[in-house]
Amino acid sequence: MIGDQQPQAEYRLIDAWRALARGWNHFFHAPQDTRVCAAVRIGMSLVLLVNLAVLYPDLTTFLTDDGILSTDMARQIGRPYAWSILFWLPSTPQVVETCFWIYVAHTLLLLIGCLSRINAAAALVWFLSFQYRNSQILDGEDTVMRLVLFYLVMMPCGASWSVDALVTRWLVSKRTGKPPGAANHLRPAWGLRLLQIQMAVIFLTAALYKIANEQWFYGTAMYYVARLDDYFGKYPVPDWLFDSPRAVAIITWAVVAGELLIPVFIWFRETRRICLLLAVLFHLGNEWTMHLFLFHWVMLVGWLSFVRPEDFAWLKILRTASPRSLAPADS
Amino acid sequence: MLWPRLRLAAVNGLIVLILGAIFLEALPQRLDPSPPLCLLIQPITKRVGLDQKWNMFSSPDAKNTRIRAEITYRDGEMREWRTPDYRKVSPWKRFLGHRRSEWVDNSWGEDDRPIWPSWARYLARAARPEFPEADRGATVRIIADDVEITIPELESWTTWREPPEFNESRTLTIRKLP
Repeated sequence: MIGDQQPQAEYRLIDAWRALARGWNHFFHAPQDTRVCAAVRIGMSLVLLVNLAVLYPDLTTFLTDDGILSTDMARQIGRPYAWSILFWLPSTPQVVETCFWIYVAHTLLLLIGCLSRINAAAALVWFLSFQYRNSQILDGEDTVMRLVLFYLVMMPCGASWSVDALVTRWLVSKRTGKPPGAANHLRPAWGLRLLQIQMAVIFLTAALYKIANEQWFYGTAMYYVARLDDYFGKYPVPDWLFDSPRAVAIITWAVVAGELLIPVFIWFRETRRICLLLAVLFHLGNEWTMHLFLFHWVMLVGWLSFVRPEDFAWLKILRTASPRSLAPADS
Repeated sequence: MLWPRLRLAAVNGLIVLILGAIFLEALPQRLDPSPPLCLLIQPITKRVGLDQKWNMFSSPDAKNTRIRAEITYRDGEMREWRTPDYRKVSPWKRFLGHRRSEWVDNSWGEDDRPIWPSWARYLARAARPEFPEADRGATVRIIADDVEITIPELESWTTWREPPEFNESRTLTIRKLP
């Protein structure tokens, strides 16, 4: 009888634990589309190659004893935890240049997806080595690059769109004697989940730091940012955007609101795409106005972890609607 | 059956450790009364590359600073080096010169005092590359030129386009190189 049933006001600890474990395993270990991991791998490799190209002319200046910072001083600055392969090698231009090209080779192999995770690990080792050799030339983008590389090591970044995937399919077909079937892009990817969490944490903690400061609270922070002439004024913007108190307050609060809300609502099906769109607009807007090197580009690579292949369904629609497909059949 | 379970448990343990490191590193923490938790885990996070702090622009600088150096060589000749007028440098050149800008930006604070001798030596050599052993016996004075950003009043805001006029100079260091 319905009237006799007791309302379940209490939960058993073991049931709660099991539900938590189920949720955890589903979140971290359910199969993910490995093309997303591949997109992150390719984007990160390209950003890293641009970073290396910009560093190349200054290798001697920044990374050798002939330059601006001796190895001993670099060790002293990084003490006690910094380490670098460059600390153990002779600090000459020839040695550093050789290391540089080995680093480039690992990055190129990562780009094409050849022994992807091994090369991601190697690129991370070189990245840390170069970073600790001269930490005076680093900025926020270096931290994000380092973190994305770290998570690439943890995810199946070579399972799609890679030499690894081609070789695996060829080996399987050789072993079974059957022609290679359709590629399987589904695999557990907890490293991808960790990258997603990392991206959310970056935005959320940036907002927490900001709201503790009165310039952000009272809406004047962007006034100061727009007047820092070593950062601001990359490309033209309308004067009123940064000269009017109301506009500046709205932009200031919009930045904090975006940094607070995007990392929360990006996890939900209904709001994921709008959050991704806002994140892209945020980064491209910043890229337009401020000189921040590769920061916004590597952040966009990080946000790629939230993209799903079906987000690009409109590309297929465009392809089917292309002039060729619209042409009459007899032409 | 045992091996996959052990493997899953090991992976989950690693995930928990990484998540713990991310949150302890990234969340804002007070510096007192005790050392922040992030310092306790930095022996690991710094070594593996997980250390992080996201306080960029949380307290925007209220002044613009340019750095210059006056170099007097052992033969009495003088040279000056200065950071560029950023407003006159194209975005592309700013992009290519990013690491040099970062060096200057990260090297003029009081905490950076230990690197000033090697910076001075480099400046002496770079400003006169044709002079052999240019740094020997040179005197390098590194100077910071500052201008405060006007506090925003509701009635009269200065436009962001107005170029800063540097009105304060302070000598960071005078180095007589051996």
